[in-house]
Amino acid sequence: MYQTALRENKLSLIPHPKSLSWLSGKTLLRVKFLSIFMLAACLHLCASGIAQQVTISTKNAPLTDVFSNIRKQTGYLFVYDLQMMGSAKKVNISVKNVSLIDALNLCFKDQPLTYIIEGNTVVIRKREKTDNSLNRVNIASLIMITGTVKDDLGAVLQGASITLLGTGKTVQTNSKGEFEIDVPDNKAVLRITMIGYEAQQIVVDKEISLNIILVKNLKALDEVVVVGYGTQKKADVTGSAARITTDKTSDLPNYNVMQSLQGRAAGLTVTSPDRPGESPQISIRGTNSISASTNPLIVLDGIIYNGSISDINANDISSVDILKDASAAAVYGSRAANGVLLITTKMGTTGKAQFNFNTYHGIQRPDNLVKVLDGPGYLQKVLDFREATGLEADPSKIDNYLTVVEAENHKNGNTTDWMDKVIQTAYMNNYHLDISGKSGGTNYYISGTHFKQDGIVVNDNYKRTTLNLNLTNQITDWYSITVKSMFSSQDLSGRQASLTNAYQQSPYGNFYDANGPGGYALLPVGDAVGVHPLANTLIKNKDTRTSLWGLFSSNLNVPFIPGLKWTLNFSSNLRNSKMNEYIDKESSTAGRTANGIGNKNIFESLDWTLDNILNYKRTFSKHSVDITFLYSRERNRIDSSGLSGSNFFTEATDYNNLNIAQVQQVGSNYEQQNSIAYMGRLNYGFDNRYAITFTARKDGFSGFAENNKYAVFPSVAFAWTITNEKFMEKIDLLNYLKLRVSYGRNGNQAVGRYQSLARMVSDQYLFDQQTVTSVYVNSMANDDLTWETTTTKNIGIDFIILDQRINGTVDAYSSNTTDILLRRALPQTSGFQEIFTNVGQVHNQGIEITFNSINIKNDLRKFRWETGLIFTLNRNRIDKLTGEDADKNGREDDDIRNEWFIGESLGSIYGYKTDGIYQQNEASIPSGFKPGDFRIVDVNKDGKLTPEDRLILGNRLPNYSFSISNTFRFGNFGFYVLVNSIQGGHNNSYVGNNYATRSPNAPFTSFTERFNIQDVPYWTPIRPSNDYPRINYNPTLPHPVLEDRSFIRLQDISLSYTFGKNVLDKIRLNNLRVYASAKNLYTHSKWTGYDPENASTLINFPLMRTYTIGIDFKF
Amino acid sequence: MINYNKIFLSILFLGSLLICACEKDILKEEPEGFLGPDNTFKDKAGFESAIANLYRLGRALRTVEELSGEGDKKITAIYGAGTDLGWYWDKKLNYGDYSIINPTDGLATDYWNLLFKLVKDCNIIITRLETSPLSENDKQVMGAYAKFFRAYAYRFLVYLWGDVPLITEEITRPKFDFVRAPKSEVLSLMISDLEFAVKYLPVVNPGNGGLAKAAADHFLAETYISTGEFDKAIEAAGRVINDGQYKLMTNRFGSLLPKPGDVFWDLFRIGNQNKNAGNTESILVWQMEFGLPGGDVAYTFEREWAPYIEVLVDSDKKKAILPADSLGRGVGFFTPSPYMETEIWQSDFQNDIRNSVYNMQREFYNNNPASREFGKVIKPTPDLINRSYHVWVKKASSPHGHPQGYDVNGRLYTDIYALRLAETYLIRAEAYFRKGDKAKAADDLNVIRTRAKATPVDPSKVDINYILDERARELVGEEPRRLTLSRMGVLYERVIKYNAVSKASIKPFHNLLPIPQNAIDANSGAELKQNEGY
Repeated sequence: MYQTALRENKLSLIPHPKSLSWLSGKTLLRVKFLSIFMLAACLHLCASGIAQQVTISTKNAPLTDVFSNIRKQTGYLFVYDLQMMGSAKKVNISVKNVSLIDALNLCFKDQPLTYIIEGNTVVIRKREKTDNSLNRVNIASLIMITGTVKDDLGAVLQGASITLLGTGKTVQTNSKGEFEIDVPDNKAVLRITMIGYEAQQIVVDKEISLNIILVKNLKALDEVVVVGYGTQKKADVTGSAARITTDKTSDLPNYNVMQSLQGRAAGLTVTSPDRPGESPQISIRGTNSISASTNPLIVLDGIIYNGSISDINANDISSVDILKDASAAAVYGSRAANGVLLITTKMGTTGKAQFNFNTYHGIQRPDNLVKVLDGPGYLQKVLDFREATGLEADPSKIDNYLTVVEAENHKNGNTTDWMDKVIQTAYMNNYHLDISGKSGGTNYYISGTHFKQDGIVVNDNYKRTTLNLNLTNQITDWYSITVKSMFSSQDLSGRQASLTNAYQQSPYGNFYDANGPGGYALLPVGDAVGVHPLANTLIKNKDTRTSLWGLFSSNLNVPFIPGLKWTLNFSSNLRNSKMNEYIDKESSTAGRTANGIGNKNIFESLDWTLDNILNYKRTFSKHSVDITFLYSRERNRIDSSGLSGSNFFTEATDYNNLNIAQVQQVGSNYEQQNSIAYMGRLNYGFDNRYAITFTARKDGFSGFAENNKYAVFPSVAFAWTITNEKFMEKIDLLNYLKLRVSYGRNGNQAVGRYQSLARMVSDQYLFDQQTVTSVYVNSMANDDLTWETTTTKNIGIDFIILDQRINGTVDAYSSNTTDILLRRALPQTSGFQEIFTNVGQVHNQGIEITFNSINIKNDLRKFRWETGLIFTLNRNRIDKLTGEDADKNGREDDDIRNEWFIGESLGSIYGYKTDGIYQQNEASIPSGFKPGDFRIVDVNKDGKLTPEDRLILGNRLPNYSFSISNTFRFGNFGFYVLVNSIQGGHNNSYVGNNYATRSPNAPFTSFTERFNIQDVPYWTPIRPSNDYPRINYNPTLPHPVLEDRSFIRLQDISLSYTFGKNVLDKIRLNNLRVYASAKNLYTHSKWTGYDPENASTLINFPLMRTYTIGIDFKF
Repeated sequence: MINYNKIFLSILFLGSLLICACEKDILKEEPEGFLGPDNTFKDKAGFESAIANLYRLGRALRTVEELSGEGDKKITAIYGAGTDLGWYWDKKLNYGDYSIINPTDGLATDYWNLLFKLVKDCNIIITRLETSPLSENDKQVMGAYAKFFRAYAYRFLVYLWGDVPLITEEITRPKFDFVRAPKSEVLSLMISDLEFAVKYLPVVNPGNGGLAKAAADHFLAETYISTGEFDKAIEAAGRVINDGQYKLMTNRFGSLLPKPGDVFWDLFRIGNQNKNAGNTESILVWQMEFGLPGGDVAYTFEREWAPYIEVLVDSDKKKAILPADSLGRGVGFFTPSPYMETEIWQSDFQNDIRNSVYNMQREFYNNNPASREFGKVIKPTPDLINRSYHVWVKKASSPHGHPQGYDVNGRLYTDIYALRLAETYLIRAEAYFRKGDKAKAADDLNVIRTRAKATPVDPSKVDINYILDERARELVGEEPRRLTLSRMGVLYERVIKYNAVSKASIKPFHNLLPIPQNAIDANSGAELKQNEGY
């Protein structure tokens, strides 16, 4: 509206005297434009989205014409007084792709006028003589100050304004971020401002060379948010979205970008990986779906990404936007029910090429280990076991009960700590180099990263190399192309040592055997009971995965229809994985029996996505419209084959020459899936106060049944920026307040291909010695298979208060998911195990709170303390299942087999309840049970333990979760700490089955007789326990042993030091930072297994605690 | 300028339309990397592959291929543990202690699932044949295979569980309302299926593990006993005995002929089960083959039944047993009862070849050259006798048949008898006896006893217990003993009588297995009634 006024009426615009206090003169006082100018501040928002390259060729043109030309190219506004312009000379200028400042400097070269850039507004004023007079008066005491301005990531900032307070004297930084300013004395105060950053004031003091770091503005209203098939100003966004930048976590060893999101956004759950290179599990807003995927959709640089998140290098990512509610995600229709993660990779930010090198090195230790019995404990276990089983158990005859090898080691006093042999302190490192910049019309970012992580379990190693090349070229002023490519190579070769074999191995087993494979005793106790835990590591295993992703984007701003833009995006992802393995004749019993086994598995997938987007974005007076149409097409193809051979007469060529195997087998597969989508979105805004968005997307997916291929997903959202209302002007406390309401539907198609078809499986049989193929129907067809649909209502507010010191977002939502896609267990009486089907309805509701505050901000002392708070609460309830009432009790039937109960959470755990341990003198131990067994509660008190005694015991899903992050900056030091917590609250919420840790016999379905066990105080007649059952406990009725999984974790800590300019100048670097960090430092929990978050027990992998140091420099 | 504008726009929209122009049927889905029923059941070859799968599942009733968890331990309870023959070594699990058997029992669940899977696969073939383009003759023959296997599955189901859901057609939609059909209905389905099979299965035994009419006749005879139609049973069994193709083996034969042994031992050596090995006694044989696709499945009979001798030591605490091909690797899950170990042999302990040292090994020799007692009989410490020193039924062994000379998993690669002629004699003997013709019953029993060089039985001594004793002598480890006892309804009394371990906990209702709780829980549309007592 401001722009329009300027163009249509050739009005001059006068800035607010307060905000431009350096201006003087009565000519500037035109009060009626005050409010308009305030709005101009809002329009600064566009700045970072506007091109700043200028091409002009004109002769003898009025200065105002040149302004209008520049405005069209850059979007910058020009503010001037018409009278004043009368004195301007005509301009001759011919430049191509120069920066705005350079162009302006040329225009103002011999003019009686000069300019100043405030945000994206160019204010014209008379060239004053005050500078000279100041010079004349104070020439003796003038001090020249030089300095550079950078952002907190070390990128130089061009166009930052440095104002000498009290004088109006202002200079701007050049393309290297440098400035010079003369000040009268060392008490002078400089104010440094830049759009999108917080203003800073500095007392010159004794420094004549300043190194200024500007911190991004918390309110970030100017921020452009990626909204899916386009961008929007954050102020115009009507849906629930959150942006996470990776700068705060850049000092942490997060190889996977999802790790950087842990505890960073409300409503987003990210688990901790416990293996090298493992991708964390992510979910947005709890569990909608039961069997269909709950992974959010990943959109990489604007296009749907079907590849693996672990192929994306965290170092190359600049931000992640999370779309949570139906409206925000609606543009992705059927793909969006689990939310959307929009990942944006880095691009060049500075004119000059910038080299950035970063490396970190770390060590990893297990966060928590479960202890196993040592030698004496093991002997006692043997005796206890024998006694419990009714066998002779005479301590003096202990050697009779051991194997020959064990007895000998016992006699000689040799023991082996097997866990210690397979768990190690492991090393990790990362090297990253990138080059980025902007030159001419080209913006580039090139990077290479090598990451290596060893496992805390021996030989559980991971390596990844990624290469990135992002290029954008502005070919003409109306056309640009972008090419982005990403190559990743992952190496997971080598089988890890077997943790199971380690903790089960007798401490009296032999570790070494000169004749054994690799010098190990393959069968440590001399018989086939347990295999050496390191034998696995000798197996030749090569497991590599490569991925090549490319995006080709064409962006056309239709020159003759202002605001119309046509974008064509095409992305393609080629993934390859190879798993080769040779199990030799020595290192395993399987290889020995089969006389060598070789496998070669090859997997290839090629995905492509084509998006054809028309966008029309324009502002008419107080009305702004943004219309987007999309046609999208997607195809995924998978080709795989597996070759295997056994019985090798020679091992000379292992898996590379399977032809010589006497027995050879092949397997192969091919799959493809296709999707088509049409989408339309209308965003209408009025007066920057009201915004409404309508979206509809029609999706077609090949994976659904014949008549259900297409579905439509509509949504509507409304936002009201209350602080832009007139009546709010006087409320100073409230800087910004926006109310958002949305309603819409999303779908979930994440069931994979071919699920609606009956599928046959092949196997083999043989007649005499002739192999024949046998086939059978493995799954039923489902002619009705269709989308799972989630309808979500969302209400949210965004606020900024107390002079921008505190900001936050609160969202509340309620969603219903119908036609839930699930693998429903069938009665196996039908011969089938399960079917993928649509059943029932699940209700989710929740609250998400994000809260950020600047607690202390002291520019003079260079101290700053920020706190971030995230709170997430989600409740979930099954409202409907099949709708059947077979038992005719007037209430819909539960599905006991699947543990689904009407009115209960999807995470319900159902079964027999235990209540301590039956003790010896106990009066009524039911038939089938013995002292030392878990006591099963007779819930209905009929004196018998029957299936009717089962009940809902707890919930797998948490009650709420929160995280608190604190960022401190003191001078050149930075400190970051993140505490993360998931809590169950009351009602046995958030429990996990820890039977494996609680019953010494659990890892074996029969008896511990020959194995070592964890060191727990198991029940014996003379050492009764109410927590751990007897040593040979085998449940008569299967039941879980539930433990609280609630935890508080000191998740991340990092400390960094950024070197000052004087040091940097000496070593000729733009930036140098060193840092140290720790991950998973401390976990407070009642869980007795490895890790409460993953509910891992001793049959899983322990969580890793990581300490790293790193260095980062830019030049 | 204006022209340029128009041209440009036209190109723009045309371009975008072209890209939009979607190919028709792009979303149509065809199975390309896998088979579906529609492209499989369209010719004879498709049905033949589906029938091959029925054999595979038939074999899976004796291997651990389709059982979950420690299937090798579970399956002992079908073949011996918890019956009159013995118990699981710890005297509690796997039907040693009946008080812990409940509807969550793993064996009952796995076996139920496996058997109904077999029923399903038979039904799909039977239903699809009707609409297939196959010739009438092909439809009958293919149908005969499927119906044989359906009856074979129901044989296990009806005897182990009593009343069971009767499913006779392909299920194409999820079904949650199964109800139990009376045992009589199940038996009559089995009879009609087997009669059909008798009519259309090949008469000539193909000898490569393939099915012939005789197998259908045998199980038809067994089913007629259950329906009380003894004459029909006698007639059906007679058709097998008089077929001419089948004869008990009386002379040594086969792969290990030069080795010391006897004909009964030869019957269970590697490579000796099929007709083309010169074996005229086998009627239906599940096929096994080490290292060959389709034949290399876990058949852990040796692991289950052979004593755990590898832990035996000499008096110096040196290992008494080193790994050896002839010994395999038994783990002694199954402990024989005194009934099986000695009682049944008493009358002919020395002369019955089925109790020869080749077939029932009772002493084990130190094979460690480093031991001072090398070559001598091992004297176990008392605490090891339970699991490591009891009679070894040598059917569960495979000297010269272990790959690489030693299999740490205690697997066998010998073919498995699903049915051999000896059992047909026993079935006819049972039919005669139940009809009241003890003399004829004794005649049939004596055919077997004569081959075994045992003293013929006097007709006056023939009763059900004697027939069961004879079955134990002849078929120990081969017949699913639990099924036989349940079929006759004598499990409870036999366990009380002969199983010192299980008799304390068994109740009459244990004659039948519990219906799996999973099957009941998932059957949300109707009540699937549990067996009495559970």
